Amino acid sequence: MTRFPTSTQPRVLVLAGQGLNCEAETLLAFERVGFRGDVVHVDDVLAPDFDLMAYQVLAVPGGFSYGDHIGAGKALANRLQTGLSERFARFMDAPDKLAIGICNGCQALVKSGLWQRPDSMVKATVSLSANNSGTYICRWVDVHCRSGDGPWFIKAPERFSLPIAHGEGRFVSTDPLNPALVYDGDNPNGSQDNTAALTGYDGRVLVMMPHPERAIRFTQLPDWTNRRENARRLQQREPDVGPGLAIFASAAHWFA
Amino acid sequence: MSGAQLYRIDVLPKLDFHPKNSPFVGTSYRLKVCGDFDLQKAKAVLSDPLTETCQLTDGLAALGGHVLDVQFAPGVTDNAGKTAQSALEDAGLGGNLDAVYSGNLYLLADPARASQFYNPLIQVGRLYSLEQALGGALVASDTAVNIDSDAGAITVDLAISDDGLMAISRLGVVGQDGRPRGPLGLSLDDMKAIKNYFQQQGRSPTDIELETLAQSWSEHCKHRIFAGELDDIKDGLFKHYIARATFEILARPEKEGFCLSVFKDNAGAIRFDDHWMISDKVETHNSPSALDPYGGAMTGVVGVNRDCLGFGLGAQPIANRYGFCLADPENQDILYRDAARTNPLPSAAAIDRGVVEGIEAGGNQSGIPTTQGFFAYDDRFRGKPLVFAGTVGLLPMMLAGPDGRMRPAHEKSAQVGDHIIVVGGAVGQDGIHGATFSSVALDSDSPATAVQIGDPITQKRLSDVLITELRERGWYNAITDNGAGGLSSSIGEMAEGPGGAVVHLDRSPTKYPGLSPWEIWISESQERMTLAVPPEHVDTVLAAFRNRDVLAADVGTFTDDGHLSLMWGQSVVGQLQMAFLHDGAPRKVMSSQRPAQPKVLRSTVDFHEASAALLHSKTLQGRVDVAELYDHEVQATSVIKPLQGIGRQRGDASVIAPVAESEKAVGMSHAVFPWLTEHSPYVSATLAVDTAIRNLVAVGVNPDQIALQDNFCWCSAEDPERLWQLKKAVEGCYDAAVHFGAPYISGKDSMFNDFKGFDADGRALKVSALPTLLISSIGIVDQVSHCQTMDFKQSGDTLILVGVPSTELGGSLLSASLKRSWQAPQEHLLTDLRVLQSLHGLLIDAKLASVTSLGQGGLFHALVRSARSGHLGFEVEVDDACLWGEAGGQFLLSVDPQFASEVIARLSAAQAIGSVTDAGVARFGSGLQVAL
Repeated sequence: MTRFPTSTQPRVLVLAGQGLNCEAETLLAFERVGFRGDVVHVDDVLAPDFDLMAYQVLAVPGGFSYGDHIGAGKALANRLQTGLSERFARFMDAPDKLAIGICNGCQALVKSGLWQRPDSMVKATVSLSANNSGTYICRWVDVHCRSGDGPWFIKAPERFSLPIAHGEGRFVSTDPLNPALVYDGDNPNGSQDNTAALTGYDGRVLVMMPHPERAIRFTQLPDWTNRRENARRLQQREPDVGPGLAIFASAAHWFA
Repeated sequence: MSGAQLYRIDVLPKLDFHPKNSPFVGTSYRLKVCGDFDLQKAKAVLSDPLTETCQLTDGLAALGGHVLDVQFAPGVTDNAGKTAQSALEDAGLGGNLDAVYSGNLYLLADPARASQFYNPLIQVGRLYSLEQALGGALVASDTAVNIDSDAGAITVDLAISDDGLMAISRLGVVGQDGRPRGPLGLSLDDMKAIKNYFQQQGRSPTDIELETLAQSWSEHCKHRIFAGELDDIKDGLFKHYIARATFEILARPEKEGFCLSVFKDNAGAIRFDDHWMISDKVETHNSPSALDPYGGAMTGVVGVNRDCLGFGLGAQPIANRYGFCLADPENQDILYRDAARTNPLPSAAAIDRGVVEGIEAGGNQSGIPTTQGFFAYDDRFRGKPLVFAGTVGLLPMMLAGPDGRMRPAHEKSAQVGDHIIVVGGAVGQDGIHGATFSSVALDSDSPATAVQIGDPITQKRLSDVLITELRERGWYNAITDNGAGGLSSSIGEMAEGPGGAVVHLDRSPTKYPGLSPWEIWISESQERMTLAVPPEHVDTVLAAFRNRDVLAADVGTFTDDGHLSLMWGQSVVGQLQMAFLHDGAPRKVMSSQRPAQPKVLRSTVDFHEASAALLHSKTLQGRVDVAELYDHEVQATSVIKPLQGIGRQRGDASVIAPVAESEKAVGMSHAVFPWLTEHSPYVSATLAVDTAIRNLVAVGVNPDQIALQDNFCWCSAEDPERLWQLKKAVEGCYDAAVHFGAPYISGKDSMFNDFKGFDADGRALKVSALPTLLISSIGIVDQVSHCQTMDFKQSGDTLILVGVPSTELGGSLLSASLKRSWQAPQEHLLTDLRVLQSLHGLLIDAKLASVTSLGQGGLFHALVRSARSGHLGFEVEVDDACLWGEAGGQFLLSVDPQFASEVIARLSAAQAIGSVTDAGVARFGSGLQVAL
């Protein structure tokens, strides 16, 4: 864990409300690596007097915003686009800011277009569509990191496992995508170019469908009892953290 | 409405984005607009430019078949319509927008399958050829609710014959339109008691008074079979067996402080640590699921979530449980509710799909991990499926009260003068007579208004305000769920403490105008909770909810005048003495009769036939696909997941670690032996308790920290032979719980799981569900490191069987699969407590590589499942007659060979039976083997 002096301890803002539901575990993951933070209702963040610049990281967590009824994350995306796009662009124009959207947060940041610079030269038209299985999937998958030097991945191993839990996780685009994370082996949802995550703003905005905040303890791994048994027989110590923590630790390292 | 215009927007995936294997193609929105409206902008709001199109021709033309246009009937909960309206308003299109309705479009190759995709009780389906659909046949129609109001109350004359009284009970109060309003479900004794009460009062009852009594006295709310006198059990089955077991156990010195709340609240609760308690409640939602499988299962899970939110001062839901007893989805029987065969039950496949998707929608959208579950398939569940839904909650030990002082969070009571605040959704005609109708058998009189669909996002908003903004502040004295019976039950129960209440029914928010006071009072419209708020905090509490778009209304006051008074404007439409409401119902007096024992076979089992039957059993396979449909990772608490091992097999227990700072965890399991009840009801109960407890110990739960719940789903419960089975099963519940020191903390029963209707030829028939006892268990894991899974870990490990195998197969899953009647066990030895302690010690000492407890499918299933779960095989030497029995007390362990002798020495009745091998083959000795 990175230990920050209180004066420079980075602050994370985690959105909540309107059906988002992963705010507590997302804040916990940031706290585990040295951040402090607040969970704030999206209605309050969209209020004109809300001070976004007081934070170093904006996190839009997972959930079912507005029930995902007009498309996953779509109603929240519309609200962010109308109420936050200018302030978010100003926030990201400051060089020392990061943002992350996980699962439903990823869908909202992608569908609102907020994830990439408004004037980006390579602005891609990207969206997310229903899994090609036609069903919701909650399962652990293997991912391969293609962006090892970005702020969100400095501490990440090249290959690791994370859980997914979504019905509409299939990245699609009119252009080839340049994923930060790709599904390693089995592509669970038919995502274009095996995309599991993208980055915008030169790697400072991470939008990802897998849930790193659900993989911060060793005992969250689906085969942890098997790994523990192997380690015992080899008289090795089993790890005490899960692979998802590396995402948050990378962000902490970037601020340190 | 004059000048209103209806626009229709169809949103379809572009051709590249059609989901595979799914006939669903799109969503339709109907927008009711007055004045100018920017339709193009609305289309942009409601569709994705990259993946979707609003042009029917683009979306459908390349595909063949028929188009099924499905819309909700007026007044049915329409979540997508609500979200669409809010999105359009956010985009500045709200000015002239009056309403938005949503619907679904399906593309069907075979139009004969259309009826599988909608439920005529709540939806309207119209089938078009592709040409018609593209040619403009898909029109927009209004589905606003228009009720000819007969507002106010009517009086009902009870000075009539017994037959007349029963006609009112069976069909309902006759409204001013001359139509009966649906069943009250009261017995003749009940009706006579009500007649006497009003004779003493010197007046006739109003409709709302009769409805109130019917709700409060229903089997559903008062559990009158469990409370009544049965044979020589004068104090009733519940007090004599279930509650007595709990209070005897809790009187033991070592159990002091373990249970915080039993039986009296919406859920029961046990201690987690010094700071937290864990609540648990398992509900049944069989009757609503029989009418509408999707809505019934969904409201089952969101409803039991509210039991959790309404426990104590409000527990946070941390896990959902579920269980389904269903007919095989391949069952092709068509059953009708009516003799004319116009009103079919949903098909077995539609029920299976509907209940699975209902739990998916309710659980996933609420952000609560749906963890522990099971499936049991038998065609006797074709008439009425059994749908279990449970919720585990987390609550601080102490919370601040209105005076700022800390108080135990599981205690609450409304105070005289507190305002009655109702929060959440609005009231409609959906969900009327749910409580009274679930207390009777299903037939053609079963009311369609009892069908409901939940709105998880409205409930999530409510729950967010309650748990994150209000709970710590002490602004309310009590809270409860509006479940069965709606306001009549929640306010009626809360008013017991203070001793009365005045309720202004016209102040409750409604979904549409024209509702009568009795409808508002008993409607079970979802997502509503009732709080008792001291006058000085009323404005703050109302504002907190309204600030987050949650409806909140101040509908009255708790009093101490001994009456429940119901107001409609200035007039009193109902007034009942609290004492009569709660204690006026005559007690049931019942007698039971032992049924003749079924004939049994004495034949041996053929290994190949038996192994094939179990390998193909849908019950044992446990629907791995469904475990993946349910988000069991949200909240990031999972320790042992629904699917275990790299081979991803469904386990019998799961574990979550709900408090991030704590090393402790919570284990959940269940056991159910429906096939055994007919043969040996006593053993079906003791075995269920034994198995539900062993399942928990196997994953690492401390055997001294386990609590239970009982869910009895019986059939024809007035039949003396069914009552005898019930009595024996409840007796088994007592004996087993006392043996293990595991108290019951809550429960629920559902006594009439019968369907009376007609077969495809119009012949009358009755399909009764197997009498089923579900035992749910919950317990504390002292340290997450004690946990273990069932998957074999390494080739060469020693396999150890703990306990004594049984060769009695009557009532086993094998006998049900092969449709054979063998001799059933009439008693079984409960697991020795010392074995549980020793096994727990071995887990603490890290001596075991895998543990599984034997249950349905016996040793055969335990071996095969653990091998598959670890992608390994095995070789054992056992008498093949011992492979199939389901006797309690058994565990299968795999251990590192260097620990084998120590493990056997520390457990009594343990023996090495073979070893783990590389993947591929299961060898049972004597040349018997199966491929894995």
